[in-house]
Amino acid sequence: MAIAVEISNLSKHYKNVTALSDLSLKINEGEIFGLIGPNGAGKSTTLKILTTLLKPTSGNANIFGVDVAQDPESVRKSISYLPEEAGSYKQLTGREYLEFMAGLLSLQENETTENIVNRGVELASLGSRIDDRTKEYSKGMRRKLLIARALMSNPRLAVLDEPASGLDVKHAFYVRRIIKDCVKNLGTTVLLSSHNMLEVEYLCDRVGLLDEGRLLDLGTPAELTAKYSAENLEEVFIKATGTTSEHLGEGI
Amino acid sequence: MPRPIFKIIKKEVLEMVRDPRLLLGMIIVPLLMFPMMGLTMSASISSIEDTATSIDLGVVNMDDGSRSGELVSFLIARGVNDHYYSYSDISLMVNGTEYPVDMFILIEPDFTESIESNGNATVVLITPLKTYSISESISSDIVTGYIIEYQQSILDERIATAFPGQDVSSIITPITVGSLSVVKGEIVNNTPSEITNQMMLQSLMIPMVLMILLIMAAQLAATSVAMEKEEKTLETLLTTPVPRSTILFGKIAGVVVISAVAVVAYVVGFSFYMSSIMGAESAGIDLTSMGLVPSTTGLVILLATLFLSMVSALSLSVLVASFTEDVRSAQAILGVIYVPILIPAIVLMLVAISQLPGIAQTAMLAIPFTYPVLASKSMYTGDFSLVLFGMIYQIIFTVIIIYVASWFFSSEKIMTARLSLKGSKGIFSKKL
Repeated sequence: MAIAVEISNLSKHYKNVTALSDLSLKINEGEIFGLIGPNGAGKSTTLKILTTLLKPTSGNANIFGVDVAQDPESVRKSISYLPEEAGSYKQLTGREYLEFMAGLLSLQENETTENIVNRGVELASLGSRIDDRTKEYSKGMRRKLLIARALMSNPRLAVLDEPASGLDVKHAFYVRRIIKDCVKNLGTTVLLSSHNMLEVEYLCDRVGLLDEGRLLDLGTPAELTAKYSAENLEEVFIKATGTTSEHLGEGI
Repeated sequence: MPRPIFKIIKKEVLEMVRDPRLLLGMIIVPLLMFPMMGLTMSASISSIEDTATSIDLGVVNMDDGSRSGELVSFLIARGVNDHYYSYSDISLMVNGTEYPVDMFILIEPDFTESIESNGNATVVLITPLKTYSISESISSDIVTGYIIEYQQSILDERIATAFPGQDVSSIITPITVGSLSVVKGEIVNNTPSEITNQMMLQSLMIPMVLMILLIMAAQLAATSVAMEKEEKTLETLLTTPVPRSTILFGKIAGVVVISAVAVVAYVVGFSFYMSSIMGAESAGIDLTSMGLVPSTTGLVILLATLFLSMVSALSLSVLVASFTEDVRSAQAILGVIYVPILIPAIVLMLVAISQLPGIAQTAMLAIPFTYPVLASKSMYTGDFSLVLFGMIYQIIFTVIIIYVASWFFSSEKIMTARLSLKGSKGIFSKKL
């Protein structure tokens, strides 16, 4: 199986703070890979390095064989990124937003901007509201639009930071379903981060546990639950970090 | 397919045009506010002019001679309406009784006798202030002016009596001062201040409009970048395959397009304002006949410096705003750009750059926004050497700023650098 993402000894330091330490992992083409961990674990930093927004302090990361630090412009042609707190341009309609973003893409052969926008409109599933200005959208509607934007171009790699964070059950279910459908039907590779262990268990083929900038463990949800004799990934994470009930009580 | 830069420009323009605050501030306000200000000013001037021709004067005449009657007739001949009252009416008026007059004139009992005996006669004007508006004091000033005019006629009479057969005006004015100016090699019959005042009104109109525009355009550009950060759209934009410099140029070009529309709105609105207030007071000075009109070359140079100033101001504000996290911080930090925009306009309104001390002159020439102001003056003098030098300087300055902004946009600093206004941790802090 081809490798979509290859990370070797990746570190990121901000002055005296270590955001990421010696991270190494591989993501296969066509799989959904989840990075899980608490706030400050280094998930967003990893995603930002892979999407060329940040430069690594040391180590390297390749996407489809291209180094993110050496040739960021080529990397951007094969990725699509959905930040955790992404917004849409409030004065544009949903359709105008998709048209604008589609106009910035590098088109593949036999692909037109119109086709991409039509696919985006379909994925967003907002009905006639797609022609309303996005300032009138609810949080759930906006997130649907943004996930449609991230997936409409059939990117080789979609990097999704907390894709369903803060959404109600209905919208979260929809977002997870279209991520699954894209991988199944179009072969997109997905790298996502999440706090929600159940979401990760449902969506991801493999999972990386990240804590304080370090990768604790890696495997399929089934492998990890078996390895830690846990009922679910939440328990896996607690056991992997060595968190005791006393530790949990400290924060209360 | 349109190139990405045009997509970015279109998006910027759409966002700005659809933002009602922006549309109001940059297009509708100048188009409505300036003409309304002009109309209000001309209405005020007309109202004051009307006041001058319909003053109702309450006359309390305690003199029994002919001179008081002569004074009242003199005032009536100049359009003042006379109404007669007794001395007691003044104390009643002071205590609140309303009279249908603008003011009272109290003519003292020995008015005629004092004048006839070459003595000093007294009249007192008493004006009840009701609205405390300028027009109330203007009525009093106008009547005072008429009385001074009457006094002059008495003075002429006295001099004629004292120096029979001699020219009265030569006795009153032993020295006549003539003041002429030389304009472009021609002697003109106007004082220098008359000409410079008139020129200032015309040549400063453009820089004033320009300064307002530069500030608004800088605000617009800063808001555009800060908004991308505040609304969390910048990260997505920066991960598209479009070169970062294209994003930067697209943003600047979008603001230039909107500012160009605003230029038209401001010029139309401001021209209407100026023509409204200047219509009645051209003072008989015809700058056109003196050759003091802007040449086509001058106008082209002014527009070129304006364009360069705008691009450098926009690049600078985009760069400054890139360090901030939200629109409010961007607006606050933008004050550092307003100062160099305003200083040349204000200082050069009062003095020529050559009249400034050496250091101040160098400092002024180092500000790229000085040159449109200089160009607006050079349009009349025809000496463009300093402005042309300035344009080269403006181009170098703009290229450097754009280069720095492009570098900044292409590095991770666009994501991590934050301008801290608290001061305790220095200028920059990092966000994890």
